[in-house]
Amino acid sequence: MSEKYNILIVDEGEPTLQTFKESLTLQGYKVDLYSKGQTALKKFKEKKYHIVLLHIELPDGDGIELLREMKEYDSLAQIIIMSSNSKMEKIISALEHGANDYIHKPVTPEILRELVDHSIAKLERWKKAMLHLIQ
Amino acid sequence: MDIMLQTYLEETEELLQSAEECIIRLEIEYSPQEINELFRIVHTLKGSSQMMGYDDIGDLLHKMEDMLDLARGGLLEFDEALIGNCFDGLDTVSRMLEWKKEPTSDSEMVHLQNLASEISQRVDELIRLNKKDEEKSDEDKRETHLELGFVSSLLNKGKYNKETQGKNKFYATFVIEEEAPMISPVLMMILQTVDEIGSLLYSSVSDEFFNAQSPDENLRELEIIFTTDFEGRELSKHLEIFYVESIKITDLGQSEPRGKAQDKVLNDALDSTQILGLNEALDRAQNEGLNETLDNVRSEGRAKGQREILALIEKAQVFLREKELIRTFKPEGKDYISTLRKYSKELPDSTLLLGLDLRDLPLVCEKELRELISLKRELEEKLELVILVDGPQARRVVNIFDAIKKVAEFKVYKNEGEALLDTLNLREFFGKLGIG
Repeated sequence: MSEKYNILIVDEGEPTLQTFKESLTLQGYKVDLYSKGQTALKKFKEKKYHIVLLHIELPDGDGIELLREMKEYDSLAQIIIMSSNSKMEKIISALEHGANDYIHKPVTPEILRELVDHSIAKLERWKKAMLHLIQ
Repeated sequence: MDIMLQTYLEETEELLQSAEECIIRLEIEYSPQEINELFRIVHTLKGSSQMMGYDDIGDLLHKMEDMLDLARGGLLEFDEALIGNCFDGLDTVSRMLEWKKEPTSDSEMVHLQNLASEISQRVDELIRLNKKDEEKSDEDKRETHLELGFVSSLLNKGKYNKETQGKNKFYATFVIEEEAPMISPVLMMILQTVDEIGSLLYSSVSDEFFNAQSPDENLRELEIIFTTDFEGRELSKHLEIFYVESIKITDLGQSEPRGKAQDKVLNDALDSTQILGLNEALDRAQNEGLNETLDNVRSEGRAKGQREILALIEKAQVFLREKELIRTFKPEGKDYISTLRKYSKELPDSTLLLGLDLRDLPLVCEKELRELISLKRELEEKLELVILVDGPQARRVVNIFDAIKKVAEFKVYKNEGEALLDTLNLREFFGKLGIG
């Protein structure tokens, strides 16, 4: 069910994610990839993104802070944290700040797929429930 | 008097007037644009006279055309003698025309014809004596003629000859068929046809395209801005050109705003080479709202280019509001949707968008949503119902309408300006003007 979900990927643009972006786009999702945290945040506020894949260890800034700001702006967005540095406190902190899912890098396309599908399934369920109320 | 003759006489009178003004301007100061303009007028006059069968007029104009062609190519000095010939030639043509309109006596016509041949002879002499010795090669000649290229000469017509500007202004995109064997002729045809029905003010394809050794045959789109006296609905039948697959036309409104003085800024702003920082202006407009942006930039006294662009946006906004393309409704009280429904029935036919301002009402309950959805469907044919919301609660509203997207797709905007920019694809249009 690729009913025009908008997906935001915030990462330095490693090949796996680039390919993932392309495969998602082919399936009809709108995918944007930004490597700078500040740019991503700005774009996030301009347009509605349903799912965010956020690399918590971005070179230019604090991933947790970014997560917090995004959640504050739109708490309904499903934010999936990707981490390459597996310190436990980072992971806990992310989950405490509202991350909807967490995954450890290196990521494979299969895992990414699973995570995105899971988030979409959730969103779909919510939508159905809400539509049920107004119909 | 039959229609064709009448039209010919009217048009020729106008053209003669323009030509005369050209020469006067050239007397004061030589300019390649003006001389090119003069050449084109004489050329057109020649063509139409020959079509009417007026060979006496046509031949004289032909001589003048040759003379002007050499002058604009730099092979003949634009001096008093030449100017004199121009004045005399045009004067004789004018008198011949008078005679065609209201014949006096045969001897009068003979007299005029003698005058004409005398002037022709003078032109021949002038050319024979003064034509520059440097034998330019054919390629050089072509280059000189192309200096004031095909497109710029059409553009200058639009800019310098305010009298020829039509009362309506349009922006049009032409998409050319894949099967078109060659691009340049199709583009030229389009530009020439536009020139016939009005004045060209901007073209996305410039002289460089035609001057290039091998024009880019992959180009499939031409964007232009032009004025014309024709109304929007009449345009398509005038713009039927071979190999053009589709034409999209946007009405930019009266080229001269109702009841206001002619706005030079607006016309200058359409010169793509003078526009700077357009994207920046639009970004600000998007973030701050069009009204605020206009105020801010005006008070900051920014660069000329940007001020002009914003004048253009402002004009567009005012025009669009005058045309009542968008109307906004602010909910009051519990039963606002039925009031909204009644309001929508009162709107004029020209309104495209009905904006529901939810700035103070960020939570919409199920019943209201249901009613809004059914109202949107009701209005579908005539109007698009859109949501306007801004501020900290905006995201909630966005989420609500996003959730019900499957059932009804409500567009959500920050303000009227954004809604209009989006609906009319003006952002794309302005963006393109900003690129070089």
